Amino acid sequence: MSGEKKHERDYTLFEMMVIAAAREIKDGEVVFAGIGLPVLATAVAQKTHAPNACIIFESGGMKRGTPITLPVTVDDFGCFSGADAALGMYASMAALGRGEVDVTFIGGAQVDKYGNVNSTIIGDFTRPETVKVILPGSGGACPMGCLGKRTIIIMPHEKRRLVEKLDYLTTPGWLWGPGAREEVGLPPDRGPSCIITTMGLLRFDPKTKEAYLEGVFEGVSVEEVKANTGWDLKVAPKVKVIPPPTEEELKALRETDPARIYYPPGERR
Amino acid sequence: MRLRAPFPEEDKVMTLEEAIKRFVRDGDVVYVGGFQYCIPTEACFEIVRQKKRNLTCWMVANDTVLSTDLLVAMGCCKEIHYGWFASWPVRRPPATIRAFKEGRLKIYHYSNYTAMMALMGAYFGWTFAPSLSDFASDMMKHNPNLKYMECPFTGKRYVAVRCPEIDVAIIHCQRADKYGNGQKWMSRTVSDEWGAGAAKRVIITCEELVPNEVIRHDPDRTLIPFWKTCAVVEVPWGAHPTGMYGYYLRDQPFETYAARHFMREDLMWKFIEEWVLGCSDRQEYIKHYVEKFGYEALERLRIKHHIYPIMPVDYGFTGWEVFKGVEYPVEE
Repeated sequence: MSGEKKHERDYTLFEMMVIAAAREIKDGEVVFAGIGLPVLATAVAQKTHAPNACIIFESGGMKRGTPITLPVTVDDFGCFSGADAALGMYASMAALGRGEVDVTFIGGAQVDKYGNVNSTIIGDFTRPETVKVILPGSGGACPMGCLGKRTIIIMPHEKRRLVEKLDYLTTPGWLWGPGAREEVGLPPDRGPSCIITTMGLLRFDPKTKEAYLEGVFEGVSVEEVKANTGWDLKVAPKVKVIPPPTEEELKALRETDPARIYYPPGERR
Repeated sequence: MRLRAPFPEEDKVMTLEEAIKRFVRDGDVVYVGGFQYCIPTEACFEIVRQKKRNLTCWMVANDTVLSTDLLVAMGCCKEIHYGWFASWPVRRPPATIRAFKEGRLKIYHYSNYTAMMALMGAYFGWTFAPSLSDFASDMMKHNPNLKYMECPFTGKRYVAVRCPEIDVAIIHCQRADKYGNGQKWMSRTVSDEWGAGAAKRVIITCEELVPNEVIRHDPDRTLIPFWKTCAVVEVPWGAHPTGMYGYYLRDQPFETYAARHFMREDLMWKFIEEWVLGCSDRQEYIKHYVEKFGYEALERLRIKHHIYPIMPVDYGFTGWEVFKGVEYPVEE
């Protein structure tokens, strides 16, 4: 597994992440999405194995099928123009609260081994002078993590992001382990289901609720993953190599975003 | 406390200068409308020009450096409450970070769910509202407006959020009439209906001032009824660089340009001098924009693909006089 092999790939890392995320969506599920990767992942799922998946935008736009134009912000035209319903944010939050959302996606600056996420601050909030940066904050992330049946966490795989201890807990995952969600008043049957990184896929042990490495992307070694994780990452007895995107999946993705609006700057055409 | 009684027939059209002078007072709690679209940026510029002080800004979400981040930069604002706040091109609110680090600003974090509930509660006149989000987060630790509570019927645990007492809401609408009926469509602009309803006073800036007839032929679109409104100001492009449904796209290249200035303090002052203090109103600002970036830069923001209702909506009626003398006898 060398750089040479990576060079041969006819897909980008971002595309691999989107497709790994798409595979997590089952047919007929309701996906709650901000913008970017989740919109693409849902579109790919719809065009391949999950034609009946449906997306609710955080801003309250609801549309069967894919958006008329790709929304670049959470309340962009693509959420409402040609939609089936253009309600307010109260409607999307209420759907989360009623337990009608199957899959939610969240990003952030830091994640810990229980899938708790920080998207608020780097530094100590109580000591403003130590603060390096204030991030946008929870937004929809906390309710998505509290109330979505399965939360998928998307994170670049770096040591400073997959950390032992968060600077700030914005969105609860499995908190401190088994029983923790019940204890604080959260629905115990909902919570994070996996972390998709730029190196592979982490799932949560049903007993300990701790994340472990389930699979790696083509060309990535287990050692590399462990070296880039800020805690002593547990590893599945047999780590899978995640199948690369199929032709059908790649086609579905590239059709959805032909101008590569959502791709990271280095991968745009 | 209201500053004025709601006279239903009063013509509330005025200049933005007069509206801000009369209805925004130092120390007010201000609801700043919009999300990533429809943010009343020109109203914020005027608050800056009039050097208002000690404001508390309340927002569910806000994505531009040219509203609350600008108010913080100019020392108009002492605390901010929000669910999500940044300029997306730089993934942060730059002036806010500097003010927080220097101890000039207090920040109260909520999630969008809980911020929404706080506003909806305030809209109903409640002092708190229950929420199903924010459990076990550090927001609970650092924001005294969040506490746990139990449902009195089932014992289920909730997060309770204190509802804000909003003095004035500044809202950018697509259209409004002179009486202060404000109409918005597409998304109900996330939370403006609740923020405006919760406020004691509402200042409306709008893309188009329309005759009352227009409003009365489509009352379902009125999110702000006349009796909430103190001032109406026609401000085309009043939400730029954020967008406006039915009028213009969010100007992401200009937002990026502004945010990059805000990332460095010296460049920020230069930007504010040029675009905010250097322009006396939105017309001058747009003129300056066209001079700098060309007319085509403005033109490309306009709506290209129109979607209108296919079927007209009938708001008509039948009067009960048609039943005069009508009686269906019951046959035994």
